[in-house]
Amino acid sequence: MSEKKILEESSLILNRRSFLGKSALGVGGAALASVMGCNLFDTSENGVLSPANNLSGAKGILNGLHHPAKIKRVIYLFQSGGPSQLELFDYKPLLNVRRGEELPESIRNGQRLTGMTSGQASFPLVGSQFDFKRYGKNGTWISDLLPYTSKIVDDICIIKSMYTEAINHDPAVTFFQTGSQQPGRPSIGSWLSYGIGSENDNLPAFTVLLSRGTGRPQGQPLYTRLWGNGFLHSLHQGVQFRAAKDPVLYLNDPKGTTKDTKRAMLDQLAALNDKHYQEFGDPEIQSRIAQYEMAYRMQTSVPNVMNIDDEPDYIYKMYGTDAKIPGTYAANCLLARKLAEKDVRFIQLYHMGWDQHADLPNALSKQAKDVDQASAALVADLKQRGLLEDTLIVWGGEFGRTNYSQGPLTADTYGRDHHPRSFSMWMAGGGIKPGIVHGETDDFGYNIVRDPVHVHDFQATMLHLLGIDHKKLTYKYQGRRFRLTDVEGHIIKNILA
Amino acid sequence: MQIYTLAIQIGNLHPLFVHLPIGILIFAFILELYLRNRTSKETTQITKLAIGVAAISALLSLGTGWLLGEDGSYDEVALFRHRWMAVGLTVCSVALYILKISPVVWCKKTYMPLFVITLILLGITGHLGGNMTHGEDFLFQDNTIKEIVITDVNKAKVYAEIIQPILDNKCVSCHNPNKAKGELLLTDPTTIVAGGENGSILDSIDSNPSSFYTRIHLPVTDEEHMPPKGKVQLTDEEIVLLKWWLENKNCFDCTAGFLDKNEQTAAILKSLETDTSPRGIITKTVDDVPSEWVTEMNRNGYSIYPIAENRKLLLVNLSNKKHIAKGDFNKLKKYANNIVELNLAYSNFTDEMASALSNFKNLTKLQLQRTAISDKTIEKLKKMSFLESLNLYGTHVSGNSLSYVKDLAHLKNLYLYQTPVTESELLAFKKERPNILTKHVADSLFNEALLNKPYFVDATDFFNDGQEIKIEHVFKTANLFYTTDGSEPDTTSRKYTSPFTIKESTTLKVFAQKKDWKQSETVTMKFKKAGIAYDSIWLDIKPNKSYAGKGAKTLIDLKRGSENFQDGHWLGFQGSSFTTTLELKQPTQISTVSIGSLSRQSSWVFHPVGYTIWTSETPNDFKQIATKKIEIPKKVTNDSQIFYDITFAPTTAKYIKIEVQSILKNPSWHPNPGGKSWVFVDEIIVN
Repeated sequence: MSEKKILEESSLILNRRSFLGKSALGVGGAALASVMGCNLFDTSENGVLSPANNLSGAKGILNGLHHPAKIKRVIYLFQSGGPSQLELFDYKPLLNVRRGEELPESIRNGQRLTGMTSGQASFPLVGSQFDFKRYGKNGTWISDLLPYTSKIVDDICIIKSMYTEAINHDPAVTFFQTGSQQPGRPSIGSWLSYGIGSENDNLPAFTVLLSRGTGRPQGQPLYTRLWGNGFLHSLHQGVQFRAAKDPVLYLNDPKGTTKDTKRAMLDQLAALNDKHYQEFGDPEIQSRIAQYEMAYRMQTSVPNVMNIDDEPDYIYKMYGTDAKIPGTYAANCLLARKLAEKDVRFIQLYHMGWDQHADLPNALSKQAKDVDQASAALVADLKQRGLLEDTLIVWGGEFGRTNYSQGPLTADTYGRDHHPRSFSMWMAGGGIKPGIVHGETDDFGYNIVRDPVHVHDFQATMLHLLGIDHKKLTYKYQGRRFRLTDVEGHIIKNILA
Repeated sequence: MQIYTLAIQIGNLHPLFVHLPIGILIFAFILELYLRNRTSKETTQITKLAIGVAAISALLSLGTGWLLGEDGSYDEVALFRHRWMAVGLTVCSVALYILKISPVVWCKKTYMPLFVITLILLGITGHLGGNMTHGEDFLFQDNTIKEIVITDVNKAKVYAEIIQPILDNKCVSCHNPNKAKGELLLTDPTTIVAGGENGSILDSIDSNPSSFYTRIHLPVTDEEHMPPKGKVQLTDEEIVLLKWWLENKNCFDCTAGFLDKNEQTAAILKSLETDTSPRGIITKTVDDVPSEWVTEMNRNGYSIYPIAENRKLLLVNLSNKKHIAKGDFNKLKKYANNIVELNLAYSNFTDEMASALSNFKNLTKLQLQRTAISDKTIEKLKKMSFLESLNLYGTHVSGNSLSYVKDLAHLKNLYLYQTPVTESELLAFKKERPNILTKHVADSLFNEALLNKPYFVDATDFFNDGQEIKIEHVFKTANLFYTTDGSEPDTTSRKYTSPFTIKESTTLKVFAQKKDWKQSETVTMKFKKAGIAYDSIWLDIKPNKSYAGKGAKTLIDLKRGSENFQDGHWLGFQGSSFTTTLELKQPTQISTVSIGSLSRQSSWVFHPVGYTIWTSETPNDFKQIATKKIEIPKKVTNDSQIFYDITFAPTTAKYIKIEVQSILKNPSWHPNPGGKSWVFVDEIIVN
């Protein structure tokens, strides 16, 4: 934004304030202003902090939900790197029968490949090295790598027909999180914070927890912009809770500061900031005031929620003893439950290391072990606490993996490249039919043959469950109304309970 | 033809005239009765006039009616009866007038009886006519409308439950067996398919849409538009539904769920559903809540919001609040019936406040988990007949409470995790109310819990004089058993209580054990004593600058690298071997050189494939004393860190030169064959 534009915008905001707030012209003035062609209502439409909202930003921009919600919060267990659906959920015995044979061109059908295998002379099919068995009332196939997930299969809905457009990690993760492959749009959690706000005044509406996988400890890092607010107000960005002495960076006071001096300092600062705001009308100033206040409240709420020492032994039996070690996926699942109990709206976990280009059997079994027990425990624990009926748990990565081996296929190992055309995810919780499988891929596990689900469909469905019409939650920016699902997205009706 | 049309148009005046004889005849009769005993010349003139006008209007009605009947759209039998009755009535009316004006005596005597007969005829004719206009059962029909209740529109029968009711409301008054305008009946599938005087109304002809489709879509001013101007019109939604039905081959026995529909149609269909759920029922019985009230309450610290915009029902969230007082509930009283969800979880709610709950009789969801309530509170819930979900997890509620909730007809989810309710009480309850999901402990899923391994605190593999061994476990209460002689430890082995010190190279094995858990796997750690002091170390080539650690000294700092080769304890070289030279403080007898290296083939990192060692007592004069070739791996191997010992005959040296040979290029089986591979070394120990 050029300097001129900024000045123009701020003067417009000032105009609005003086017209609506200070001037006796009132509505007439506003009408005059709009006749004069000034786009004065941009900010109120976007509602950075509309007059009805208090400074804590606790309530969102929507006047009310578009329809009654099935869920109040989401726990998104993002498996970053692209977990292999073929070793976990999508059982394809044909690939074992035809192991080593070439991927037929009729199946690949011109699919664009990543630079990592596009030069490969041969695409030998390879089936899962791990066995699958049937579990639950519907006899759902689940891999031996997921012994605990198989126990909760009657509580989850497995979607085997996810597809995406991106073939590389960052665009694909960005696509899932923001609805666009290009960076710059708000993450799902930010949209929710903006749209419906927080239920807990003392914790941010959007929290993020990261863990590294043991299957590929040096896997791709994640950019913090994945939980960024994009063009929304910075108030709505995800707050990362770290597994360290300071779970939230820069939250603690310097030594020697008391609660009272801190409070006095914040009050003075807020007064100054407010004065500044009156003068320049930059909404980001209000956002800053709100963030100081939130940080102040988080000084007590965060240590409280991050403390898992008091959890009894049986909790660790459920989540696994890894949950004792801060920063592990299991510990993060346990924290996710605690945050859900505190009514945090969107709890985003990322577990990295699912990118098995080579040495897949070994690395994937480590990854699966990282997440299997804790994911299942989270579902079971929320269920027995009565939270599963209004929480949505999502488990899934940014894309799937190829049905052919990346690199040479040897007797006991192989790798798999990125595959956007079909992959698996699961969801559990309020509004989702439990114990079902949605969608199907062909016998090669390459193409979807029934009920394809696009990334935008998934996002639309998630918003639908939250009581939001994905077409109606928009933000006007650069002359266009943006939304999470861009111009697409259909609700996956068949998985709705 | 024009005459015919004109005739029909005159016939259309029938409804105008037909009511005149009815009114006038009846009024004339009343006059006759009223004036019977007050006869005078004037009164007779009045009744004469009345009867005369009645007779003329009857004639007009008969005439117009006759012409209207020619239009052919009426049921023959009904028309015949009505027409000839009307003829009789008209004749009687005219006769009445004649009798009235006649001075003959017998005329006076027959006048009143004929009047009565005329009135009877009038009643019958009028009724028959009314039947033709409004339908046979118009007068005596069952006025309690057969309301069709659709609870799940996808299961609704499209024709019978959606389309025919529209036709019944808007079309059938003219297209019924009595009236049959255009010879069309819209009362049942057979007649609808049969069509009217112009043939089928459903089939499209010459790719023009069917006449049904066309006529409902024409502008209302158009002659052909249906329903005709002036009649109650179809709503936009009804037109969409009719169109949808026609487009789906006007299926007569489909259910709505099976037909394709666009979003608009789906939304309209959805709106046909009658919500018979508790919330649907409650919605009908409660008033709107002013949004100002909600705002005001929220300003006072309540968390209240409607279930959705423009909905009357409210959710109240007081969870995690620790300062709720009984009086706070009074402020909710005003709209207590609108509140369907009350969340008191993790709050300070107690039995003492429980009586406040009786105001909220429309709750469908009540969350009381982790509050200090007991059976006393549950007793208050007996009348919450709409309750669907009740969360009592972590409360002091006992099995006695089950009797209070077992009659709640809508209850579906009951959470009793961590309550004093026993398994047997729960089983008995399940027998009575099998459809209630009682969510109890999921422990059985996770009973095979494995302890994780103990770990060494601040452990390095090497030490010079002595090494303090400190072992910990994530559970402070876990028992740790260990051996120091390389044998497998068991629960009879030495139990770890506090840190201890080792002076010699030791292999330590330890595992963790805890009641009710599966014991952990054994952890093995080798501690190596490095007795020789170095003076300096240098390298022939520089390591890659991303993996340069603290230079050559990294190799003799007694610190092992971790799995993360970027941790600064590793030196990495890409596509080349390297040589390092060590200078000891004084000439020493040595017999082993141990070198730590890393393999992570996915990152193109391979263990060295060979070592050559030279020693010397002066800076020049090196003699080769050992060389080792290590087999190049033939397939992918797991990531590993090894410490490779090269032993040789004891020899005295001040300088030691070690060549570490790299694989140089990724082998042919690697996903990227021929790529410049890496060699990573973290430590060199000489003994």
